[in-house]
Amino acid sequence: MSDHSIDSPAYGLENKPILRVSLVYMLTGFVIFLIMGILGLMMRLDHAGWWVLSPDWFYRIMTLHGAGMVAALLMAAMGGIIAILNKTVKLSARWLWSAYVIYSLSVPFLLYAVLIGGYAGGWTALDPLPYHGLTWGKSAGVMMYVTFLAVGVGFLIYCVHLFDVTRRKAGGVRRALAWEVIFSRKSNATPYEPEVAELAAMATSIIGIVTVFGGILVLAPLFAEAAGLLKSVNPLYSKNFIMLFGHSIANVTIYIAVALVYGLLPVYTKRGGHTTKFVALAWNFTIILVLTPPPHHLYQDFAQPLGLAIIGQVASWSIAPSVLLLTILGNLSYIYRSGMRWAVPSVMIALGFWGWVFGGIGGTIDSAIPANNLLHNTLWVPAHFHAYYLLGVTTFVWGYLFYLISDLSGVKEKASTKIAAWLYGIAGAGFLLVFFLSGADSVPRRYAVHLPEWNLLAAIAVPFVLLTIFSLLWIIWDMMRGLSGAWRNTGAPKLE
Amino acid sequence: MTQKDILIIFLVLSAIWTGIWLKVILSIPNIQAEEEVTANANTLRRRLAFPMIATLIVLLTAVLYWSPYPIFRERTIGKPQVTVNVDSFQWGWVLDTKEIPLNKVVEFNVSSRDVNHGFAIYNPEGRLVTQTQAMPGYVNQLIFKFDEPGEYTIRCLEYCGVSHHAMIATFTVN
Ligand code: HEM
Ligand SMILES: [Cu+2]
Repeated sequence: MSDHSIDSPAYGLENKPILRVSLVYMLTGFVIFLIMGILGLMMRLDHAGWWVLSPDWFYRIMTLHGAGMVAALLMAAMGGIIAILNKTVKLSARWLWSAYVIYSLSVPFLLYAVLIGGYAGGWTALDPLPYHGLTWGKSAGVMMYVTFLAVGVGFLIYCVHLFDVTRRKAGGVRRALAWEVIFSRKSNATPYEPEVAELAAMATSIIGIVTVFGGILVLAPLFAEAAGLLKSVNPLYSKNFIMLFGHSIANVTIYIAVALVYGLLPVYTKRGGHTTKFVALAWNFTIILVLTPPPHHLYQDFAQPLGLAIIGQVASWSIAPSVLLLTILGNLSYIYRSGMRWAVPSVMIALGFWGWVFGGIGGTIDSAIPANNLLHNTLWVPAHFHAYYLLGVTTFVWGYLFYLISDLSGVKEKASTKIAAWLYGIAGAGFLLVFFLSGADSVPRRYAVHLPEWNLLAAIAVPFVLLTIFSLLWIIWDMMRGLSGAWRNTGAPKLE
Repeated sequence: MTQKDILIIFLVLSAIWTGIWLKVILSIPNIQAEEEVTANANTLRRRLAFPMIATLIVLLTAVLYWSPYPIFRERTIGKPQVTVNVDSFQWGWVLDTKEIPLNKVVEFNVSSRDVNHGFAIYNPEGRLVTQTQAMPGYVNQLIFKFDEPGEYTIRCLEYCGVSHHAMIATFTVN
């Protein structure tokens, strides 16, 4: 049936226009990530007291950085998975380009909101702040929500397409979700086994569709308010849905990134690549585990019904056993005693599993309601999700991008670039550790002005940030050699 | 439970995890057949699943009991003896008293006039001791007992615009 062969590349070469789309998604995300990283450095320099920004500009930069990073990494991860899907399903370049264009409209909207409109309300745009910013106008707040809308609609188009394609190939949603594998009995006929990437695409597209739907439930009344049709939106309602949207769109990114790992690991370990019962369970749980924890963002809203807080807590803690025992243990067993070949992408994957769990520990602790009472909105929170992102998502996604470019172009990586990859992990871990320490020191997040006694930890973070940037530049320098060759090897639409 | 305890738990778990991860990384050259590794992983999974889930369920109940919601704090701290009303706006706090008695159970009724704010209390050493959100249209009741005298600082912990970091007030406990 399928191309399970472990020696085949971790992307489909047949349909070259799809590979071009994939590269464009990933490179767009990569470039935005680099720029946003510089903005992150600026914020940490401000915290250290070395380059003091005006509060207005600090918060504008914070808004750009948050929104830009989340959107960029989601887009890059989306791009990676289509290259893998291209092996076994027929995707439509037209759909994927449409999603890309609409999604990318978010860039001018965001820039307009922040740079021209003066919007500095944070990427989460928590109602009622965007329309009541005092230093920016209501129209800038509306622009921010339009930015959300562009990302949401672009992502929705992408998800609907993936959903449709994988459902049709499997002959039904349940089969695409590998329920036949999960519920198979020995006696039965061989169950239908979707490719891991197809299963992941089905699971994440369901999450994406629900997420965007949740987003629309809050954007619609907010636009109505802007148009004067509603006096205001209930702030508890809007907070719940904004958090559902924001949390899920950020959280789903790591799972899409993990799907890349399932595709890529076999290249280096000669193991895995099959939709086993545990892999199938992992992806089915993912749907629930992304969509149910968002109430943990409202633990400190005592007006929230207690039941929702409990759901948030139970859901957040359900992630630990299921991710550890299914996804992490499963992937580590592909690596354990496998003779895995070390190369930049495999180093990045190994680092990613370390960082993902590191961030997960921070998150699991913070999602205990009493601990959250002491950590909520301190730097512990960015520490947790930066660990997820910087040492989980980015290592997986850029590892895959590096692989894709070098394999497509045939330009082999330099042996020494592996050092840069390890350096990225070490530097990232140092940066994250002091973030956590700052959080445990009660340093608030989203503060443009820090007390002198908070400066030291931020100052320690700076060299680590510089080192991550240095190691990235080193990796880029190697990756660039293959870029034009890879580009030429994708692309030109086939004559049909 | 303070931030220090939390940090220690975090560092210990992270160290354990790092050890496991290193063991996996260092095992790589020492090749074993995939079937054997998979079988061992499955055994491990089966052995770990129950203890892990059971631990989490036990912890969960404890955690709920120690949660900051009024119905629990009335049990863990006591019924309120003193009431303080707190209002907030961009960018400041309005408290109906600046003096709070030591060792008495205090309830703060926290609300907001405009956007979301975060009512967080920092002790004289600069450590965050408890918090609740200030949401327009709602009153959040935060119960707390101060067992250390001195000047406490209220900081806004929900981003509320460009003077968010300056949204500070103080009160004295004696
Ligand atoms: C070199 C890498 C990075 C550095 C130095 C950096 C630094 C920072 C800093 C200093 C903050 C502000 C913390 C605060 O005061 O609240 C921040 C916030 C944030 N960062 Fe990063 N970051 C980096 C990478 C990333 C990545 C890869 C993501 C991925 C999505 C990301 C997403 C965010 C988000 C969502 C926020 C929250 C903004 C907000 O509170 O509104 N960052 N980052
Ligand atoms: Cu504030």
